[in-house]
Amino acid sequence: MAGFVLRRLTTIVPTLLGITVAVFLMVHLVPGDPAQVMLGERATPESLEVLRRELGLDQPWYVQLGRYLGGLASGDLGRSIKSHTPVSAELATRFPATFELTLAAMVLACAIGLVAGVLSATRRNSIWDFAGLAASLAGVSMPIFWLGLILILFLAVNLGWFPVAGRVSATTYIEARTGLFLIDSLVAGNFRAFGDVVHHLFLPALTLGTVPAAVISRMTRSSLLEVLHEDYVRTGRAKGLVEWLVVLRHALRNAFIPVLTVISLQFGYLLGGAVITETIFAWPGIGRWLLLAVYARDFRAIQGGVLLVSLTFVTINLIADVLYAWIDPRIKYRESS
Amino acid sequence: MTSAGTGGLQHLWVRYRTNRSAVVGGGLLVLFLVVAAGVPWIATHDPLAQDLYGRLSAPSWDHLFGTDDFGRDIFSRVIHGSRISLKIGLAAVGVALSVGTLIGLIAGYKGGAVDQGLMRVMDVMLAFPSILLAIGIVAILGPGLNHAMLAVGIVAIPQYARLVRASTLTVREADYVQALRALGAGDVRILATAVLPNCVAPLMVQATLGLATSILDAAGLSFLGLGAQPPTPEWGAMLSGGRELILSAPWVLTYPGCAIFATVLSFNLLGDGLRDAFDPRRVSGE
Amino acid sequence: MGSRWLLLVLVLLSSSCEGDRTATLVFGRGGDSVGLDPALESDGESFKVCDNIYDSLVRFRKESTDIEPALATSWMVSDDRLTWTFLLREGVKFHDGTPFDAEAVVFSLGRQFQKDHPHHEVEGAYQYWNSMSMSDIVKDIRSVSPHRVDVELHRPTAPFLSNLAMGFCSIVSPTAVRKWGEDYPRHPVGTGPFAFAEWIKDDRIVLTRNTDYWDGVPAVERVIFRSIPENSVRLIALSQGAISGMDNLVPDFIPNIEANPKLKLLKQAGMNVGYLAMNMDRHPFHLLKVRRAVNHAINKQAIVDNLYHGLANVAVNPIPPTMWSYHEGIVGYAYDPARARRLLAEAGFPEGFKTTLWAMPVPRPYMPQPLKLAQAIQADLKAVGIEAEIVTYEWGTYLDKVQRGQHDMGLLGWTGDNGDPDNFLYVLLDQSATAFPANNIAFYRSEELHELLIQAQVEVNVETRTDLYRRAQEIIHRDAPWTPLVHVAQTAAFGKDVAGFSLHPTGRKWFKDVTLNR
Repeated sequence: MAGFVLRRLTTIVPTLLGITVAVFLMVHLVPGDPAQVMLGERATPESLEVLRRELGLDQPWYVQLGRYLGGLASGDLGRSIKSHTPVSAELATRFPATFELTLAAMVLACAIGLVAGVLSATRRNSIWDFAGLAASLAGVSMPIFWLGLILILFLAVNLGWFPVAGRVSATTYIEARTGLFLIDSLVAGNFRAFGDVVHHLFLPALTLGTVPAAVISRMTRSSLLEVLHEDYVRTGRAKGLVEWLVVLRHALRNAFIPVLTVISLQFGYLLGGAVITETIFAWPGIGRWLLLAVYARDFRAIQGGVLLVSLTFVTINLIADVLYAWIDPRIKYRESS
Repeated sequence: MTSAGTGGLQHLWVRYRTNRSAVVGGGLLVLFLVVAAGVPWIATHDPLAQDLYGRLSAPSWDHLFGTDDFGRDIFSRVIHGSRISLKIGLAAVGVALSVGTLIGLIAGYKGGAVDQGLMRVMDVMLAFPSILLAIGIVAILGPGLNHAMLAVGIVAIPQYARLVRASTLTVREADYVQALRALGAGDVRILATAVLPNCVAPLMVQATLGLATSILDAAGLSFLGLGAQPPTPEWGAMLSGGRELILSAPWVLTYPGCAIFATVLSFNLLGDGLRDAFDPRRVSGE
Repeated sequence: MGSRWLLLVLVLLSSSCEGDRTATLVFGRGGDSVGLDPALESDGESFKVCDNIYDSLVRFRKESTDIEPALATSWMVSDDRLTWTFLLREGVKFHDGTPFDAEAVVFSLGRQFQKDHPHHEVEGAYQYWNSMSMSDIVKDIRSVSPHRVDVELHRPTAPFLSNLAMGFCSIVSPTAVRKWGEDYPRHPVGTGPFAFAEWIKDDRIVLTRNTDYWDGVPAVERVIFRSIPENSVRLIALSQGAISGMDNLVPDFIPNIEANPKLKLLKQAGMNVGYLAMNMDRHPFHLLKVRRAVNHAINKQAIVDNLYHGLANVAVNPIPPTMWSYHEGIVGYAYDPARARRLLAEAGFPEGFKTTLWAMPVPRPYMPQPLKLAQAIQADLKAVGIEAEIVTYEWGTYLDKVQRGQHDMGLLGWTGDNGDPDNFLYVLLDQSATAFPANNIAFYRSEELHELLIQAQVEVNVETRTDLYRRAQEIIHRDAPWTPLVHVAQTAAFGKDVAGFSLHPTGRKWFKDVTLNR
């Protein structure tokens, strides 16, 4: 097992290197002069030239790439062009916000998706099954930017149930330890703040979690149905209720493997979807920050941000791989034998 | 693997017809195509004609879906938008399908270093969350509808490449392919006559679902201001332009949103139906 | 999830009411600040916060661009108008305890132009200092005694004192700049009514009041600036009471705000102009008749009535009517499509022509919705036969390209910094402003105008200057390099319980006098 994890880790390295170079090249193909972006309406030729030299933009691209990789090796992502702050510091304050949002969305999506999927599959062709199928199809077809606005209109404006902006109320103070406010507020024993965090988290997490919930529910249903059709399950069912429950547990375990794949892939969707969700809900995370960095041509911010997001995604996929092996010991990793 | 010939097709049709979701999806899709084809006859107004003093009027007989903040008829804009969405879907899927298939065929058939190299590139592409990659590509090319279509297409390439590669690998060593090779058939001919037909069924399913995704993604890019530019009546752009009217004129948001939803839903239903029809082992309804 | 959990969540939700907020003003805005060193930043969101942390030697009076004493209690000018002497307020301390004195003034201003100053080299640039050509104006700055500073100029300059009231001339704590170096913009220290407390990026900046403030202690204990990028979400947050004030209102919000008994709307004429520049270096805009035709083709009144909900005035001249020397005698080109078509025909385009209309993708104070404005103009132009394709680029690229003159017609605007007409006319329309990066994006070159504007810069007598600027406006109107579109009112919305806030023509926001009555 440990050997497998280790080997899997080493395959990540070239992927990450590929991502880094790809992002670097992409960013450097972008038209538009970052120096001009920084100086805006009031730029003068002298200030432009000085700035270009400071940013190393007067060097050929391969020199810039070399410098960037060199910096990266020592954990230095450079300073953001727009804010002059180290990119790593910018990421450090925003990443927990995005992570908390995507995690909450995923928990919500799994809760809804797994329950709906199991219900659908075990009560096949019932009204529940039909409703679940319809809802999940609606879910995967939903443009989330529209969904977010609709949820705001109904749940926040008309019903007044939820706040619409930010992670906590302006007057709520939470000392950042982990940066995950749910944990930080509990650690501080501040339950009022915890409630405030949950209250603020719900709408964006629901917006972001809807599509994954639908995808997970579809996959759970279909893979459970496939397992339920296998012989040993049928036999178990024929032998009576107790046996059937035992089998169902087995069935769920087997059915869960493709579901796990879907869940880990949906994290990619969540990390990307965060761009839109964070913009709508004033969520101070990486998604919105990256979008602004793209608009502003802040190439160092783009490089660092995309790298971190991809790293997160790759790591989650790795964890999913390890989980397969843990859930299903029958899986043999041919490379390892 | 599907059996060809009329008998097989008839069988497919029967399976398809008995699939409720597929029928509903097909019905919605036909409606969508009829609308797209009949734009000049269905639209009641010029989708670009402004009437500033008649802006933001609520839905009425004169303006079925109301007017937007330029006094343009939303009904006509939504109707015109169907063509744009169809174009986006077809173009994006076209790019992804053709490039992806080519890469998949080459990687699967050649194997070795070529395979390794191509698939590592695909891995790198898959390591980006797709909308983020699309945003990046649009950032390079500059905003605009065509660039958004291209970006959404490029992002989907790896899916097709992997699918085709997998199918290619299964038949590469098959007896009839070996036989063809022994008979002196060239690579291109083998690929075209023996390998490619084997991929058609999964590709069709993937492409149908891909239409849904690409329409959604392109609308998302337009919503962020990176896709279709005003005054193009693209649905995502209409939503983007109307988001500040959510309190004062919600109809500006309602109808384009419903249009995206219904269109994407129809392609998803159809894709599901096709998948079930092509794959007898699959349990229907998924 | 068990039902017990659900219950717990519900209990927590219901108990999550707001904490103590009686003394906190929460202000919602569209984006975060970039940094809080007033000399380094160039964006409005940064100045919005800086203005409450810092003071400068002189400041603008409330709701006007007249100058009044601030950190300087009085000033004198030498007879040759080259040496300015400032006497400084005594007993003032920075938030970090550093005493405010002449050394701090020399440090704050000197670092921006003295090449040998230890803090002259920074990542970024002292942009505002450069863009105001301050190095061409200021020759030297000296501390004469702890409370006296002398500034020596290269040449007599009429707007010099007004420039000192601008944000970039704020006085910073030298101790803090030395201590934090490059990180100073995240740890600002001034003498102003509020002291910096906390900054959560993209979320909030918290300021607490300076109880030692020389000009009276602010009524609110804390000011929190909250970033909420979606305009409509910001308005919803305001009506929910999550924030107590906001700016950058979209005109379509006005009816909503006015109908809400819990909210109030503030508005005031803005010192800005939004315009359509026609690139005279490109065909066919070198032709006067074409430029005039465009002026006649655009229905500005309809645009103001509908896209701005009356929150703007139709522009006739480049400078706003609230500014001194504004020429009331000039009558704008009337909306007259028939005449526009006739002019086009006379210019050799009876069938019209195809061109491009450039619009920026981001809201600016002078154009809250540039792409919407562009669409309205596009439709008007089409009605007289001009097919204009809308072109837009991301903001930085957009500026770069229009400043190189790659556009045919382009939307842009300007917000005045110091209340001087020079800050509009010379900056935006003089021939010297056509070199890259051009602020004169009409690429309008008039020797006649240039002479007038230079003369007005050196001249000190306001009446003579007024006369010069009025003549300048006549020339500009005659040559029609622009279609001046709008002067946009500035707006802000507050909860009914907020009092004491007043808008300033420059768009700057001070919260010292705000009170909350809850």
